[in-house]
Parts: sequence; structure tokens; C-alpha cells
Amino acid sequence: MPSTLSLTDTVSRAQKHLATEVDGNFILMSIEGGVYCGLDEIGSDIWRRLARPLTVEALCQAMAANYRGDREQITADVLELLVSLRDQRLIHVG
Amino acid sequence: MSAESGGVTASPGGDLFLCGWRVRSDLALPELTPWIGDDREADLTIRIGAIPSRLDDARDVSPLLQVTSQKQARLSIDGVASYWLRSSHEIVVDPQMAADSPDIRTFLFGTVLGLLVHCRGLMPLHASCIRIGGKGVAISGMSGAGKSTLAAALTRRGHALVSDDICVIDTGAAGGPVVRPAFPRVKLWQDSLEAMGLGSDGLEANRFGQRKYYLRFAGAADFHTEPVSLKAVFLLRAQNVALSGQAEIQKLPPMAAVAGLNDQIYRKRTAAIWGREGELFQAIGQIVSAADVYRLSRRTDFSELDSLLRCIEDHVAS
Repeated sequence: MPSTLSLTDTVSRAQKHLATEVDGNFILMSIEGGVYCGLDEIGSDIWRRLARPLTVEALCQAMAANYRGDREQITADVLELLVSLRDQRLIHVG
Repeated sequence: MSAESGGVTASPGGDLFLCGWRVRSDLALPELTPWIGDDREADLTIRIGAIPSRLDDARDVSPLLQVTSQKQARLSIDGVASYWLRSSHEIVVDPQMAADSPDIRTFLFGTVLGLLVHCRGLMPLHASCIRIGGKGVAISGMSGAGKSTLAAALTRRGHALVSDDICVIDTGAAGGPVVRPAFPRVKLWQDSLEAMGLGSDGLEANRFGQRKYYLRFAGAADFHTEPVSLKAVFLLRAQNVALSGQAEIQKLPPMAAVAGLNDQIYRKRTAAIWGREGELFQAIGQIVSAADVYRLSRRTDFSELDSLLRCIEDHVAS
């Protein structure tokens, strides 16, 4: 499994996971791993967008359009979160 | 308070109250309060009868428990009784001892009630619950962690008992999660009775030969049937070493609160077989959004019980 994601990869929520919202922020759990993952406000926004498959590039564009900040930095932050979610088997890539 | 004579007992043959349901039972259930609600049909019928040794398409959760994908279950306790959760409206009990033995009700109000709660789409948390100043306060933890002891001790300080051991939570209620009252009784071990200055004489042992006793609370005034908003959950962790000698109460951040509650879902394996994992996890988020969740580490010997009770009251009031 490659350690990074490409902008052309398609990402979506994994089949086997549990998700719940506390005060608008998501807390996830992979059923296989049994590990909890708490998302902040921005992470929760990304999780909502992952309800349907989309490319990493489209996700980064959407985030850049909705949040102030350097485009490259936003892309780097989104990629870092996606890699973490993938490693916890909370998203499906491809 | 009289520990022995439950003031709340059903008139023979009358319907009973349990978690908001109207219950009609062949089996005498002296723990339950009489039904004083509307004239609806019974929500749940408990009858004595024969039970098939094998349910159709059953899988074995344990050597004692069969469950089916149709949300039926069969529990068999050797020498006590077999129980068949036939639907969300019907439980069949086949006693192997005198039908009025408390042992039979131990499992009826334990595993069987927990599975019924799952069957009815509600959340059973392994917790006792009391009403403190109009707020529902759940005290959760594994068996032996002390939840019944704390609940009973809090009732002696004037708070009403809502449920013991299984806390039935409805997260779909309009104003946020509520606890549905069960019945006014707690199960206590002998050392807990002693810590509260109560003897065990005259109490009914809940399983033959075990030193755990039922403590029934007298007087309907101590028990309310209306649901109560769940506002605080204390997750108990017994601490064998007296580190500081003081109980420690720590408010948990959301993720730790979700993880802590997720560990305390009652009969979770069967719930997973019945496909409830997703909805239960969502329900936990609703609970954590509405209630403060604390980790409570206490000494195992119940010393300084009074200061611990005051500490719980202070956290709930704040």
C-alpha cells in the first residue's frame, strides 16, 4: 500500500465503520480495528463530503473554496487527514 | 425505609409497569409497580409455557444463548429456567424450580430484559440510574464495579431510583435522551449492605446460595414512572490500591466519553448480530451531546462513601 495518495485517487467512506456526531463533530470507529478517531470541525466537514465518492483533487478544491488559507497548505492538510483515515481503514481509496 | 416489605406490589392478576410498557404476566413479578397508565392493550406478555430446545435458524452466542436473525432469543439457565424472547411483545418462561423463586427473575430482569430492549430499538446501558434534582444520572460499570451500591446509597440521601443494572435509554425522545424507569429495586452484595449500615436479615437472596441480596424500596413516592432526561453518566472504575484515599471524578472529552459508553452497551454481541451497531453508536453520540460523562475512580472498600455521594451530587448540580 503506497504511503501517499494521489490527487487523481477516488476516496469514499469505508463500508465497515461506525460514525456518530457529538455537537456536530464526528467520532468514527473502524469495526475491524476497534480504534476510535475524533474529527474536528474541518475534519467533520471533509467526512460529510466523503458520503459520496470523489477525487482527492475535487475534495481539495471544495475545501479551498470554503476555507481561507493557502491552497497548497489546504491540499497538504487534506492529504494528511485522508492518509490517516485510510490507514485506520475508515475510507476506501480507488 | 423498610428493606423488606415492598410497599409497591401488584394486585394479583393486575397489569404491571416496566420501562413504560404495560406488562401482563403469568409469573408473579413483585419487583414491578402496578400499571397506572392508560387503558391500552398490553405491550408485553410474559407467560409460562414450553419452549423448543432449538429455535429455527438459531446461532449460538454462548452455550446458554441462542439468537435468530428475526430477533428471537432463547436463554437457558440450568436448574433455574429457560426463557424465550419470542417477539418484542412476548416472553415465554419455562421454570425448572418454583415459579416464584427470585432466581428466575434475576435472569428475566437481566439478559432477557436487555435483549428485549434491543428488540424494541432502545439502548440498554449497563448502568443503574437515579433521579437527582430532576436530572437522570446513570452510574455505569462492569458487574462488581459498585453501581448498585452507589445507586442505593444515593436513594438513601433522598433521590429516587430509576433503574438498577440495566438503564433503558430512549435517544429518540423529543427533548433529547431519556431514561425509562424500570422498577424500584436494587441488587446488592452483603459488603455493600454493611457499608450502608444495613443488615441482610429478612432480605431475599436473588440466587440460591449467593450472597447478593435484593433490596426493595418501599413506597411509591420513591419511584416515578415518567421518563427522566439523562444529564450525567458516571463510568465507574474500581481502584484496588488506595492511591490518594480520595475518589477522583474527571469529566471526559467527547471521544473518551463515546468509547467509555460504547464499552457499556448491555448484550452488545447479540445487538451486533441483530445489526444494531450503527444505530447504537449514533445513539451514543446523542447521549454524549446531551449529558456530561465522567470517569469515577473509587476505592473498592466503600470507605468515605458519604464524601463520594456528595461529590456526585455537586457535579450533577453544577
